[in-house]
Amino acid sequence: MLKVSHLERTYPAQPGGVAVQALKSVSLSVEQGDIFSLLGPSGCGKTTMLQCIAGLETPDAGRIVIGSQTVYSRDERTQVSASERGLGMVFQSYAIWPHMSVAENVAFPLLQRGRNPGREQIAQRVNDALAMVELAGYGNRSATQLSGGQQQRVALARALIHKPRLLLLDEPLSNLDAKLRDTMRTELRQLIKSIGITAVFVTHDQVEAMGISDKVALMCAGKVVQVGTSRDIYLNPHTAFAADFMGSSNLIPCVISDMGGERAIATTPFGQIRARAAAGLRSGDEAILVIRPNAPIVDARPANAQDDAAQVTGNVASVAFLGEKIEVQVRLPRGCNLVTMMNTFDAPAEGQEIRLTLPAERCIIVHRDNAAVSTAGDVKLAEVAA
Amino acid sequence: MMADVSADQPSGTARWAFLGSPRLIKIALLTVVATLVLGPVIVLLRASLAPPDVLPFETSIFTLDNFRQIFAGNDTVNLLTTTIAYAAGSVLLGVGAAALVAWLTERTDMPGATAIRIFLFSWMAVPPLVIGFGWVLLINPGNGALNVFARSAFGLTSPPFTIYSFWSLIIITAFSVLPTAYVMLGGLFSNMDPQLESAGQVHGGRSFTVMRRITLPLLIPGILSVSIFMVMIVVQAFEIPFVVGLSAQIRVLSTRVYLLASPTTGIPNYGLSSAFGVCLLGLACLLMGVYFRCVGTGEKYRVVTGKAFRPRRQKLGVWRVPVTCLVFALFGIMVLPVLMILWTSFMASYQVPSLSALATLSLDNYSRALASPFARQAIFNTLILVLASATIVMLLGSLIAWFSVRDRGPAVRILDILAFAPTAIPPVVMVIAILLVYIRTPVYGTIWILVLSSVTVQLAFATRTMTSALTQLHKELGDAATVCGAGWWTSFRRITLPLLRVQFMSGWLFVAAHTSRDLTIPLVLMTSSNVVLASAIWMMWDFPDLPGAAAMAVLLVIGLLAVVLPVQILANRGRRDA
Ligand SMILES: Nc1ncnc2c1ncn2[C@@H]1O[C@H](COP(=O)(O)OP(=O)(O)O)[C@@H](O)[C@H]1O
Ligand SMILES: [Mg+2]
Repeated sequence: MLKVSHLERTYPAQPGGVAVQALKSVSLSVEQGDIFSLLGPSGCGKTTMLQCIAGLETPDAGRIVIGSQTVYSRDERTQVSASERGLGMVFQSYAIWPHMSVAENVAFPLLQRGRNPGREQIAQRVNDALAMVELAGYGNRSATQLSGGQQQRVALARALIHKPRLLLLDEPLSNLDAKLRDTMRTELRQLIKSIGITAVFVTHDQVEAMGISDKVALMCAGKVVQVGTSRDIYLNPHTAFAADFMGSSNLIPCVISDMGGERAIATTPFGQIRARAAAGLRSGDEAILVIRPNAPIVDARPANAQDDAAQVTGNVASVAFLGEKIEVQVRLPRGCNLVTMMNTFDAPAEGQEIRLTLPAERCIIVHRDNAAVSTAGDVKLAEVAA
Repeated sequence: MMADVSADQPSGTARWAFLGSPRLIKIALLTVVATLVLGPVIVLLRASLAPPDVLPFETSIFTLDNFRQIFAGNDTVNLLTTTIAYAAGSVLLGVGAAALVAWLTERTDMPGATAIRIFLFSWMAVPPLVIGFGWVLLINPGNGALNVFARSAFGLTSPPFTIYSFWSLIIITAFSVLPTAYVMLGGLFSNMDPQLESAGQVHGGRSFTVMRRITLPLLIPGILSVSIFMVMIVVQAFEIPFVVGLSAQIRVLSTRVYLLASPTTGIPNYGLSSAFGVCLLGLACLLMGVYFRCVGTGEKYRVVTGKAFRPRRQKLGVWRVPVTCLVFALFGIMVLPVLMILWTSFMASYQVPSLSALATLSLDNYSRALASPFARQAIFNTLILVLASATIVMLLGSLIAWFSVRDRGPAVRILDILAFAPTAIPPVVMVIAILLVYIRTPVYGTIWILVLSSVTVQLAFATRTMTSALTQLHKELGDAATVCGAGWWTSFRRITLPLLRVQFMSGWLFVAAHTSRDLTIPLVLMTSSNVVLASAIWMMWDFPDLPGAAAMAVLLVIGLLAVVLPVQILANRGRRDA
């Protein structure tokens, strides 16, 4: 449905600044009917990406195909303007026009580009659209009298009323308060799925991305680092960045010593751990061992080490109470610390000795990030190094 | 997948079509603004290098004769020192008084602050021309009303006041500087963060010490930049030096430029006039440079934080009554010339106000003025001028603002500079240059050349107003319209302009007021068919028909007040509610 290939966008230097490479040869493919998330830290180029798809920003190179239409191609010198791409978009600020009523806001797309379906048809479709977002009867309100959540729904109705082929959403939930955000997220997914429209959803919040999307593209410093279902990225991250951004994890520097099929041995400061290895790693590589906080099986008594699991012993350094669960810092030999989650009712005492069983299935060795890729400056270093 | 008209559109039709409208508009804008601004400047430069007595197009000779003549004698040095002394003196007095009044109304418990604020904000409805005439009637040495009163009251033999002195000119100009400076300083005083002062008090400063050591130093950069801005305005000002200073033989650069181009006797010397114009332009540019440097340093202090504060007000105590009386006396003096004009407008022939003359009051001048085709034509022309130029310049300003905020390319940078340039070009110089450009075209002599000149002169203001308004507007509001399928024009017309309507209207009002009260443009470009109210008043005064001129002046002031006053009262109510 949407195909983006080798898209580049560099913002020219502002007076007194440097040029910002916001997109670096990004390629993506979104299937018909999917909710596709662009996930990444702030400043990684998600908005730029979305605006290039919408046509609000002109890329420097690459190609964008929506459905069967090439809307941008550098090589063919094709550029369809934003107003002719026939998309729907929900903006981060909602961009509800305060000088129009709710109905006028929602009806706006129906009246563009020489279309005028007639007064009755418009009223009918506006009512349908408002009913769809559960705002039936709000048509005559001034847009300024709405709460944040209601504005969000109006923005959604406006984006969907002209039956666009693709819906773009730029952090639509980030301006809502936490409780409302959770309900809206579920409703949004149900709504999009019930219409069957393809959607590209931008967020910097991994929980949001996991909750709403069929597929996630993890972005970092203008690049897509991994694409897959959220479960897939969570369980099989390729890099330390992916492991860290998708859920939390303990990242332990290690050296791969023995590589056999799916399994490898990671030599860490606190011993040798059997784990799965990400594709492309070889014996002797310096890598990162990822241990999710909920991966270790905690046991106070010594258990029989199984074949496919390692066992480490440490001391409880601190216990943080988080409600349903507790976060336990375990001090391992040679100054290593490991964070693990435990059931609140099994809370250990501080200083207590504790045994962690680490099944190989739950541990994964990933590529090191060439640099901690979060800022543009670091990325340049990385490229130099590469 | 839902069907949609846009979905099955052939991509071929859209090839680079997106550039169509905004890029064309950008090119059109650039052409229009370059013609408006650059054309006259180039012709002015050319004329200053041409021999005297010929139009710049009619010669191929380049000569420095004009400049040689300017710098040959002592005359020019005198002219320059007079201009600078005049500007500095009136700004010192005017801005000083404005700062005092701003502090009193914004930061103390002086009564009547709201009335003063509305009064000063509405003062732009009173043309400098009218103030100049009023003062002439009040203190000319022969039969000036104040002189007559003083002589009969104190038995003096010689008149105590004279309008024909350097000091009179300075004081009268200072009164016209006061309202503008007040408008600029008021925000500075009311937005100052009171915590800065509280901090001084908490650490043991007494209120006088706090004012001297904290408040004043914080405000100095702001007051300084306003002062330099006002010097720039006064150096460019033409009307008061023209009405008041000319009979007194006080020549400043702006009147000199005018007199060379439109002498009372003899033929115009455009070459020399242009050369002086170039000098005045240079001086204005210099002041502008200084102004920007100062604004730069002012930024460092950041007294105006944009947050709405409710500043603590100083108690005036025993000073409250005398200070209030003093301030209201000051405004009494400001209003006097207007009252004098009002009085004269009711007289069959000019006479000094007295009880016995009360019986002769009549509305004859008004009916006479309104009946004459000349005056009707002038009123009609004024309406066209004001409506057309305010609307055109605000639209032009909005378009330029859109490109300079939303589309930052090299072409837009040039557009920005061109639109800003008229700030540094004195109106009288600009108008003479426009005269030189269009004198051989059919536009010359019509009302439309006045519209064109007003648009050029007000372009910088309009662009600045709309640019600062547009920067406050979230970009996504326009983007949303575009994604919905709206073309550039639709989005501009349906979304951007309506959202900026308040700033657009207040800018429109400002331009309308300043266009209708301005004499410079109509005077320089005057022919028998494009007389507007301001030039009609001048002609009747010069004729001389003082009561007729007074009646027309009153009509103009009333017309302006009818629009300006309600808006200012509303704005003030909004400010109090906020
Ligand atoms: N109009 C612009 N001009 C210059 N730099 C920009 C502009 N818009 C975004 N950037 C820069 O491009 C990078 C990516 O921005 P953006 O796409 O907005 O990130 P995200 O939406 O992921 O937070 C950032 O470093 C940002 O500062
Ligand atoms: Mg963003």
